[in-house]
Amino acid sequence: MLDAFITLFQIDNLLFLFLGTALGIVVGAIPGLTASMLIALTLPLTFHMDSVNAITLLIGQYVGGISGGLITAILLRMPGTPASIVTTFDGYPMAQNGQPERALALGIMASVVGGIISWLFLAGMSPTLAKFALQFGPWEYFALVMMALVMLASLTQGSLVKGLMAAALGMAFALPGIDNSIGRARLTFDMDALLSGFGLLPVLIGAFAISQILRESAAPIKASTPINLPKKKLPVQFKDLKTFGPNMLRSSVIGTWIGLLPGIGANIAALVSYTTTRQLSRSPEKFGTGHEPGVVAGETANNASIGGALIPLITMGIPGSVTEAILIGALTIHSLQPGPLLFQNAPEVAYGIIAAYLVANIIMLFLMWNAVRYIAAISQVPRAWLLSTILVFCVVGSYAVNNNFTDVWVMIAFGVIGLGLELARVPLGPFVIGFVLSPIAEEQLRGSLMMSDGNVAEILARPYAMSFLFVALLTLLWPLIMGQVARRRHHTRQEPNS
Amino acid sequence: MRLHPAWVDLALVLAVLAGAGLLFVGASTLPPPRFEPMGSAALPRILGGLLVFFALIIAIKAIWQLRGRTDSNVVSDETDDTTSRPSAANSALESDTEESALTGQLRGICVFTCLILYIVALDILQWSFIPVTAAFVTIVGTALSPQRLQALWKFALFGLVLAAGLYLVMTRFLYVDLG
Amino acid sequence: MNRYTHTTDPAGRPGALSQACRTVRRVSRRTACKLAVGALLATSLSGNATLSLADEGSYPSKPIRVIVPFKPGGRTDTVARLLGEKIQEKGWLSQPMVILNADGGAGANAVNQMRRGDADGHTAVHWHHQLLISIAMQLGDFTLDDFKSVGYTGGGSPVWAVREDSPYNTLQDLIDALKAEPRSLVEAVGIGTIPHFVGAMLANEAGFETRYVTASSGADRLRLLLGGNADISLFAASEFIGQGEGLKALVYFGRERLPDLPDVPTASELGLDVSWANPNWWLVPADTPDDVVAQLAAALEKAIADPEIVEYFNNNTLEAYWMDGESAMADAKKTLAALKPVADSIK
Repeated sequence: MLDAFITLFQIDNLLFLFLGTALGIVVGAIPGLTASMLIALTLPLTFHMDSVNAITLLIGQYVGGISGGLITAILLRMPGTPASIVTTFDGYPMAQNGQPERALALGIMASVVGGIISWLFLAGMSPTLAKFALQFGPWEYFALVMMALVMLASLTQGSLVKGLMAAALGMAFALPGIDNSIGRARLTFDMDALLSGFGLLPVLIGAFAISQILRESAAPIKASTPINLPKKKLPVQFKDLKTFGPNMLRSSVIGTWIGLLPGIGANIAALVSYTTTRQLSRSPEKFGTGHEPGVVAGETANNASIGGALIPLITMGIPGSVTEAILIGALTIHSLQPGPLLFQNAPEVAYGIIAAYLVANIIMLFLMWNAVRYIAAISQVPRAWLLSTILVFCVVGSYAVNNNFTDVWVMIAFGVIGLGLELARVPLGPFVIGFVLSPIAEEQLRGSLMMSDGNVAEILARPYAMSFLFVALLTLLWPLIMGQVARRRHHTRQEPNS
Repeated sequence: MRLHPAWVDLALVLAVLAGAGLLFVGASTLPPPRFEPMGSAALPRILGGLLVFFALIIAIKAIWQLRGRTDSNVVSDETDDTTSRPSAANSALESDTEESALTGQLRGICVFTCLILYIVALDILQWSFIPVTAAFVTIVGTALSPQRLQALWKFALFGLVLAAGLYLVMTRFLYVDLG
Repeated sequence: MNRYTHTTDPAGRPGALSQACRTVRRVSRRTACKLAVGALLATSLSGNATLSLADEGSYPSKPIRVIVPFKPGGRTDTVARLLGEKIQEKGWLSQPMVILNADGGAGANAVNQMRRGDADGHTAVHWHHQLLISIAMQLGDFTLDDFKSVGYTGGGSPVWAVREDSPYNTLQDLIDALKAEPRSLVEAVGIGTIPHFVGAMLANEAGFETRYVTASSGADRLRLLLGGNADISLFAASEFIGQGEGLKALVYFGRERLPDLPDVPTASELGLDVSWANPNWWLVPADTPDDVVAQLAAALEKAIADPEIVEYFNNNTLEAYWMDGESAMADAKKTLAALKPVADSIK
């Protein structure tokens, strides 16, 4: 391990890591471009690099990409990456309430803490955790995703019916495409373009970025205000670290742990930790209106999930996400087969990944901390510049995912749908999250049923799956329980309980 | 001048019902369950049912509101969503510029039309990426600027640089085939 | 996004950009505009120039777009890139090969990309037998008639594996167990993908039946098998060897034993007439002229014989060989005929 750090501190590796992280942040921040796209597109460039150089570059991009997403999520309500969807819930209201820097700084702090805590798990207990994660089969995946879906319902603000309808609509839009459980097309209405379904990226950029841009361009033009950077100290202090300590610790554990499970990913990690934090909070009603713990929970967990996802990757060669599948591709190009043998065959690469992950987090902190004021100034750039540029990026980005114009049209369509939903006050968060979650839930449930020959009762023999369902039930009943508790407290004690 | 929210809700209900109809139609053509008892058609049907259910609740609420409107003009229980409806509506009220909401909406439609034309040019007409993008940025940028004439050439230059830069990086280094 | 790949290119950030614009303006408004317009003209002109060269018939006159129907990083993608680079390095074709990844829709996306290009040899597809499965399952509106085959550049075969602690040490043990107790074991497959088809061909041949659990990728299969949620699964030989421990291969689907796995018997040795070789198949649109196809094939044939490429193939348990277009098409048609009954059985 020490050797790995020493290797890492060679100038070229550090340079690549720095470059990768910086690139990742910028790309992650731009709506329409994501970390996995960046990594896919830079993969060919790594062909001629030394394998450690290549890995440091890609890890940097991975960490930077997930972290950068918070910038536009907070400032413009356009999540730069899917993992930052929940950051829009509280981050954007904070920025609107005149605290963009505070929101950014909290998000950055949370990201770094999440990264470092999950690194401890990665460096310290990889083999144990990997074995644990392996036990999770289709039943457990199904139960976990169901739990997230139920939490989603408790997340909706405003009209509950509309929130639920948004989720159902999102799920319905996830249906078209090849049904993995029969290998045939479903609801494609004989259109080839629908065979691969609606891509996550076009849907996300459409629903958030395009609809937001259209709305903003319809708003009256304000004369551009001069950009003045506040000279005061950064609005996050050491005491914040203490205030949010329990929150960050919990969110890191949730993030790492969900990241461990291949195929679940950072989006769900952020969502689960956000809801958990909200449920445990004394003032859940403040969430969604610019409440600081909300930003912290989501951003801690999505960064922590990277560390978690790297665990099955390096111990077993099982990628946790699309991004990591590409990382594995990068290894095989260098004739390195990921898996348990990697530590024997190429320890400098295996430990290099672990070391690079930590250093990338620190570089990310350094870069974003120093740039936070300038980043906050983005929201003051005249709209004409910002919107026209972002539009071009959205088009190019959604095209570049698969070199396919269908994705661009899908993005436009979801822009219009998003605008319509907002107009009817149907929340977009549940819509997009329903879209992400339901295919996993369905496939896993049907996989479980295949495996058990149609016997639903088999889930009873699965303790982890049952415990997720229990938590889901608890989430549903939580408001009732809390109501009871509060009432009883009110009765027994006279003085208000702070 | 502004539409009563209940009418918007009714429009939503119609759209959702149409969508649910599509789900049922699509589900009817799917093969019966093969490897497991659920089959492909189960989820579309469940979701279709849920959507119809939610839509009906919203419809009933909306109609109830429209009836009660004669009594008071206050928009009833659903004035909640402060977070999901940002600046657009609010700033229209605050803004002291003389332009009306109508010009704003026209501008929004203009940007949207430009976006559609831009993609048509790239996808269907297969025009060259750089000039089309430059033209797009010029038009959209100008439309969104307060002082149009000054903005025009600024955005033309910016668009050209942006397009050329993107093109160079995408095609040379990243092997994405633009237009 | 990636304008940032090269630090010298500041095109992206609006701030940096407007800054740059301002600077430029200060220097000279006119010159800047002229320069920019000049650059633009030059780009479009050079595009036209290459087009006009194409009319003169010297192939290739512009970069060859090779469409790969998968995300980057997989085997098909890697092989295409390696061969493309080798051909460029040695100058076997006068223009580079540009790899385009068009994932999704069981290949429909890639076929649409191919149809967008001209059938003049500057558009090619690098695929494998998933193409045949898409056709057998009637996904997408394409058939083999839409393609002209350039040839196979090598390929590889998979193994069927169980967990190391599994009680079954040979394929026969496994078949006996499944015959004694039908559907008692779980096989991790993606329904309608190669693992499913290969498993089903073996099952039909030997007369047994398994239960399935859906696994959409090799990683998923590995995860389910190692975690005890599945009992059997198919792996590329290189995946199996890279895993090192925890798995036990029962049968290899190649025609002959793999040198890296000398103890794993082939299916035909065990008296089962099932084999599966997944080639790296180069295709062009059906209307592409034959002389152009011949030139492309010649370059590929040289590339696959190159020592460095052969070494890569060997290291990854792939076989490096060349099979010309017609034989490849004939082989594919035979395989497709074998797949059809399996596809019908799962309809």
